[in-house]
Amino acid sequence: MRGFILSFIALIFVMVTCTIFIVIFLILSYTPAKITKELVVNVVYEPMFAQNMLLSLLNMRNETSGITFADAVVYAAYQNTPTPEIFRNGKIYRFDLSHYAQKYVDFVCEYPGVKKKCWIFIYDATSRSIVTIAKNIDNPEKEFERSQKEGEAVSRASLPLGFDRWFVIYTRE
Amino acid sequence: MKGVSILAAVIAIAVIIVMGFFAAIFILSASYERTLSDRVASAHAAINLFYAYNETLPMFTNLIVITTAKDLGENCGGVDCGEKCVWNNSCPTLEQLTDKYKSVFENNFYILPKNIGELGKFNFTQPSIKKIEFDENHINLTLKYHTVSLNLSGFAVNATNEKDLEISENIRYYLLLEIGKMLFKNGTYPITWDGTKTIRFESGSSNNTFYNKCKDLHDNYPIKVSNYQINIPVDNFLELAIECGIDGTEGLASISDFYGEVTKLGSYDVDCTRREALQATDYNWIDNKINNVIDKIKRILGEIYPDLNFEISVEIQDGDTSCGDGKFCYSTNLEKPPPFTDNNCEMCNSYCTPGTCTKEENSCRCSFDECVRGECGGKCGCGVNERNGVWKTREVTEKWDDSKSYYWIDVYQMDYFYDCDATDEDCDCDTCYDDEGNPYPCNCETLYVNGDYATYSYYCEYKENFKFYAKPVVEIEMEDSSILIPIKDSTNFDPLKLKLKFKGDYEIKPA
Repeated sequence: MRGFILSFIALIFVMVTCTIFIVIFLILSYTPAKITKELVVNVVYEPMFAQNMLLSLLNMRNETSGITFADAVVYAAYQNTPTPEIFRNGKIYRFDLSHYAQKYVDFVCEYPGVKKKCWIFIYDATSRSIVTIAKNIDNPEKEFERSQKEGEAVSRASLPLGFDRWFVIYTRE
Repeated sequence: MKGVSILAAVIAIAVIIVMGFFAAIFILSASYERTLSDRVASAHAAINLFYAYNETLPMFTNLIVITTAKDLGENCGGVDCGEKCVWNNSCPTLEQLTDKYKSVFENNFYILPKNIGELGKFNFTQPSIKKIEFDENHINLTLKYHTVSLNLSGFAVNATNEKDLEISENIRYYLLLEIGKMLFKNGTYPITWDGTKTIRFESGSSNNTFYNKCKDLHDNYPIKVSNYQINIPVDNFLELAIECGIDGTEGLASISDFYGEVTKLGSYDVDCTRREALQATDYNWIDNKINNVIDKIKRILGEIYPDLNFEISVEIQDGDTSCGDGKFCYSTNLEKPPPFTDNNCEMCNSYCTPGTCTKEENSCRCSFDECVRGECGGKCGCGVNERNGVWKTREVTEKWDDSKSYYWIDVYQMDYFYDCDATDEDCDCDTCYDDEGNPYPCNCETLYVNGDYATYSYYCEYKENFKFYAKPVVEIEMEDSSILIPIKDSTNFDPLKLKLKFKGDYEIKPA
């Protein structure tokens, strides 16, 4: 009789324990994962860095003319020059893509404690030509080619500018 | 003891189960975190891609709107400007032109960048055109946004915008189309110019093909500009303006004299041409007439539309490929040559005195030979060197030349001069001897005829009542410099242009 009671108590204990863990499991299953710094920075933020750069850069605006970088890059593709001219409000404005992009790279890619390698260029897939718009390293083409071969994490973003022509940003730690 | 053993076994099982749960939870949690982070990154990327494309979409659209207008405008609004379809009253209609724009725009629009990068698992749907509308100063577009979507097992992202994208481009393409069409169509058109003006077609001359029509227009259909509107009460404004003239400037209807006359005299190759005959009439160059009208139209349009430039040029063709300078030609396509009316051969006789011309079919002819001066023959003495007489041979022909379509007088004249140019040697009789052998001067009975002085004369005289065909090709180029349109692969710009080509077909003849 005592053995039966002990077994019964043990069984109750096991059932209660299982129930508690099942409840915990179910709760965990339907609860968002914990948002850790690692998750945000390493898994989400870093691969998006180039894309975020692209979005921010496209929104840069010349206060005098109101022309955005996005406007200028479209004209750059149409006029086939990194220094397009845009007619707006009765005037023709010259927009130097490199000037704005380089300022942006200098601001975003390097600051105390952070040094990212950044490269912005226009790529023509037909002629396989690259026109570098901004960079903060020498020989970025070789540098990023090496990074990719060695499996280093490279964050990339590209925006089509027409048939086989792209506006591209490469970054890596 | 047995109970304790059972209890120990149960507890051991319970511990294993608990540890298993812990392990399972840990594994599931780690896996779920990875999956979640991947999904968050994917969603982030999709949204970024949507917005990145969105940043450039309005400018891409702007570029397509204005470059499509430019390309079509320089191509007669997109219609064939050749023989097939020039601007006139029926072709093209404004609706056809705007439909053409929409069609070409849609083709151009769908060559927007489609592949938005190394999408991997993303699907990209291009923006689409929901509506294109025109007003005088804008082209208004309604676009359905593009979509960047992702569909994984149990996880879907659809980055788009539920609202439509409204884009209004400031370009006066439709205005130019309307003005262009207005030149060829009835109607009333609003303008920005606030002046008041009445423009009349000119009535022209009563001795002209166009007179009745132009007179009717002049009396009954003035063009009125007032209250920010211009009425174009007649079809084909340009054609009528050229025919009748406009606002004090005379057009083709002012040409009343179609009688041309020119006379020439020359030694050999003399030609009287229709062009010279036309110049000899009481009007100046017909192309000047037309150019004056064109200049007037240009000034009128420039006044009504002060912010548009109008370039108007005219080339007149008559379908005769032999037209030399290409600027102005005169038709030789007479229905039939005018009859030969000089039944009394008066013109011929005026060249034939003292001979008399005889009438032949469609011509008069005469010929005579006579000694017109001095003695044509006789004797002259040895050593005498003097002119004795002139013998004239003349043939006159007056006829209508079918090949050249004009009257001409052909005077062939040969003058023979009878000179006594008998030198001693020529005479061969400078010394005569009497029976006693004494020399004495003697007369030779030798006639010298020197043909070196023969002349050939050719007269032509052009007299004709003719009619004139002209097919003026008028090209109008309207230019709006309010915005400049970039040229592909260049940093140069062009204003918006609309070229019109109009082809008239006029027959001018005495009433």
